[in-house]
Amino acid sequence: MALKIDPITRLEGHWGIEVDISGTSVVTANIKGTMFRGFEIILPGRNPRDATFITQRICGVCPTTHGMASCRCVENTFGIDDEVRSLGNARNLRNLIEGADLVMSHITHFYHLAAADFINFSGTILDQSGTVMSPWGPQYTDSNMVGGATANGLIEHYVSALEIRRKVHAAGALFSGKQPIQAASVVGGITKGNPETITNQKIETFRNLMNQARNFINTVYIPDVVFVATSFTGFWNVGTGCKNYLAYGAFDLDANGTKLLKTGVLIGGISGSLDNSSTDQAILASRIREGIMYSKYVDDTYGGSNVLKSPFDGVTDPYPNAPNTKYSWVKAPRYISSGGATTVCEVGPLARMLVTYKSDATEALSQLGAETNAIITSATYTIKGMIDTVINAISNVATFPGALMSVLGRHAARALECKAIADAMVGTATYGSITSWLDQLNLFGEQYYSHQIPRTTRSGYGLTEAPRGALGHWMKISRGKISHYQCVVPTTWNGSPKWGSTTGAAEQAVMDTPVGSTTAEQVLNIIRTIHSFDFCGACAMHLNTPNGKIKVVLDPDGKVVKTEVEK
Amino acid sequence: MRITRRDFLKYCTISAGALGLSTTALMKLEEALAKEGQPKVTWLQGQACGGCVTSVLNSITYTDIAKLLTAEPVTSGTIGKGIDLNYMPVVMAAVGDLAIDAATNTANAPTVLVIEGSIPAEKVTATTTSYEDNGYCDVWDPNNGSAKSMLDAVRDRIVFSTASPDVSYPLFVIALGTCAAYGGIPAAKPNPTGARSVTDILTDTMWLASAYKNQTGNTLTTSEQRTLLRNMKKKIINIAGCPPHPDWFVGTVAYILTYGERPRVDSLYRPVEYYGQRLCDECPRFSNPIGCLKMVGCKGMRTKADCSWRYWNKESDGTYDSTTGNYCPNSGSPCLGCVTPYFWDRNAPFFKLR
Repeated sequence: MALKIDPITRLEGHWGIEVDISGTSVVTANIKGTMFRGFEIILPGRNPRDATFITQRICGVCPTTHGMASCRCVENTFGIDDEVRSLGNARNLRNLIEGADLVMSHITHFYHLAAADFINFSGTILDQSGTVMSPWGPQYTDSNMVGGATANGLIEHYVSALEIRRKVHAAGALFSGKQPIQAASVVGGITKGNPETITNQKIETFRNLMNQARNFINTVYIPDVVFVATSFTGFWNVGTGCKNYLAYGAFDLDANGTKLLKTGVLIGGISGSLDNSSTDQAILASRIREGIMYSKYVDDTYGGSNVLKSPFDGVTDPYPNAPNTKYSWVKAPRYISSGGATTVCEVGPLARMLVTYKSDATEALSQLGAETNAIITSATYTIKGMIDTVINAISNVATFPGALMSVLGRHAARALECKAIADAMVGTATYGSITSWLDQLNLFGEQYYSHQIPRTTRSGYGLTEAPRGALGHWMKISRGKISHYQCVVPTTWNGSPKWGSTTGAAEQAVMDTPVGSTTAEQVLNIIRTIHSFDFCGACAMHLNTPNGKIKVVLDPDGKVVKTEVEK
Repeated sequence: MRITRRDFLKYCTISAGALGLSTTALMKLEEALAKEGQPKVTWLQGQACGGCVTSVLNSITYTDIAKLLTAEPVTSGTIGKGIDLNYMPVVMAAVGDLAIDAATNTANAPTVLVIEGSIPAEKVTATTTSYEDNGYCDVWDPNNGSAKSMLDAVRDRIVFSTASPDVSYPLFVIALGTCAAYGGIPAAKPNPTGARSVTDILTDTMWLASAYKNQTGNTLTTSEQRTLLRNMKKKIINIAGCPPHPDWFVGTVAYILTYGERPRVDSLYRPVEYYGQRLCDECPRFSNPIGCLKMVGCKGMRTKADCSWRYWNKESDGTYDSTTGNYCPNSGSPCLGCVTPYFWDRNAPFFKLR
């Protein structure tokens, strides 16, 4: 039986899914991205420094990470990335701005995007004499859902989460100018604020706002995830997917580029191992490919439907009225493993937590109010220790070791990561050596590295982690202008269509989801799996080259005479 | 203590409601919202990035108004106040066909239509044909039907009056964000997908005349067509900005609900309340020896927006304090002029550094 769910709401962008259901299981799943903007034609010919501002408009939910990836990409291209990273203030301010965005995004995702999959609003405070007020009603419901007075607590947290996410945004804006879409992180570092970027007053305001968020995460967010998990224990075994996890790593801790969230590709799930040399960003960046076999782009200009291309060479020719086999605007990214295998990968908080776990990370974090948190009891902890605690905690409700690789596992990993990053931002141990990023800020330190735009032809990449997963930008410059720019974003990985014999990450997860027999059950179970990935369509249908090649005509000084599309 | 104009302005802003509404207006607003029948709002997303809605979600600072507008759950048994947001893809609980029903149900004809993101469309010939969909943005696809493009989804929300050349619903069209207002980033050169603004689509005279005839069966004379066009233009409000400040949106909606009419707008359909002054007028960096960013590319001189005294991401609605709240030039980054049409091309490059 065929079923279409389009639009899939409560995620960013335009997504639909078509599934074929046999009995209570999904036989095939096609996830469709249904919107296209064509950023890549807008970028060539522009000043490389402007890329930071333009690429942030790819996605309004995680613009900050696009800005950071773009800054790193341009700095790598200019050959100044090591210099910028060695400026302590630039490094830590970027961590704080990026961290605030991540914490905001995770809280928004659980309460405002995903929670309605688990709550039956009928009989709650939103129910007015039989009619649930919009936009929370009408809704599909099933018997698993939390409803009535029990759900009122969650609904009240929906409102308090709005306040907390706003406060985290405000904290980020103290250093970044405004949120969403930050202004202060530019190529070369962080701009100088009026009168100063870093003042004691701002540091204290930031700490105050973030401590409110940490308190919320410990006492509300994590307990709510546990509450949902205990009401939906079956979902520890639902939506497993491809079991390959890719993370570019993020949050530089020192000038050498040691990261809090580690780099690597985990093949074969929690009992598997990290792929050879994948922990090196430069090698990882060179192993990324994209294909268009089932994507709405013309095969001929790409060099054939069975070709995988590096983002440095990506050519795309959109095909709005393509035949039905080409069903999505999203390209299919694949990782080429050290053994040469074309690998589908999942990205996101779960991927980051598992890769960090497998990397035996030893960085200690300090938490706020250890006694109020049931998950971790000590004042300091490591990410590896935190994951071990969770694995032990769920071992009696679900079958270990697969349990973390599930719908609930993704929500749990997101909540734990939210806690870890918030603690790394402002958590300082009273006794011991943990100094948070905020406390490492130096009132008199440098935060900007002066540089010039090179006139030579160069190329570079910038990798980071968006709230939704691994984000990479690749670019080439020529005569001081952008000549090529390409992004491979988190939801391109998770929302990938098929390519060759491989099926996209979320599509595999949907096929691992038992869906039930009524339409409401089928719709709900499918969107629970999709929402656990935290899709973002604005990102995924981003920047492919429309209508063939972009032709940038430059005069001898490198000034752009015209930019045109060759049809 | 001497009170400067700036101090006075701040004082007025804060005490009389940061949204430009007087206390009487607030009472009126509460009255209007308590009435039977909540104003219906449909919120469509075209080629959007989600930044506008993320920004608008930050609007809850001004608690009372926010409670009214966001339909915050009420704990007592009183009738819920606020707007009836029947279709809003980012927050609504319904998915798939159920969501489509909420949008297409004729009982849900919106009082206020909010559009976020630009609308991709092409004209075959510039003067004699209307805009046609070019396949770059579909908003929904029902099980028993075919995919609906953003262009058609917007046009279908317009209900014409049979009595006179006028539009019955929606009463107001809010184009939220620079993409909806002027095309924004998708329309940046060379506009690969044919992204158009809401104004372009709704004031397309070729479409207006034929759609009016299709819906009502009446053919319009040339002068009636002009009347229809004029009436349509009266409904459009552009809340420009990339992203727009939450106050600009919330304040405009509050004004509409209070007075039942469009706030005073400039020639670009932006409310003058928020877009009436140059950024430099109140900028703390202006004529500051260490501060002004004009030389590194700040576009504040030709940008009309009140960021410089409204501030972004303010955490307290009482105090004016640069440690709570910030805005681009205050953080050291030049103003891009993001409330201006075609700013991606006209204002680039944003940095004037060597």
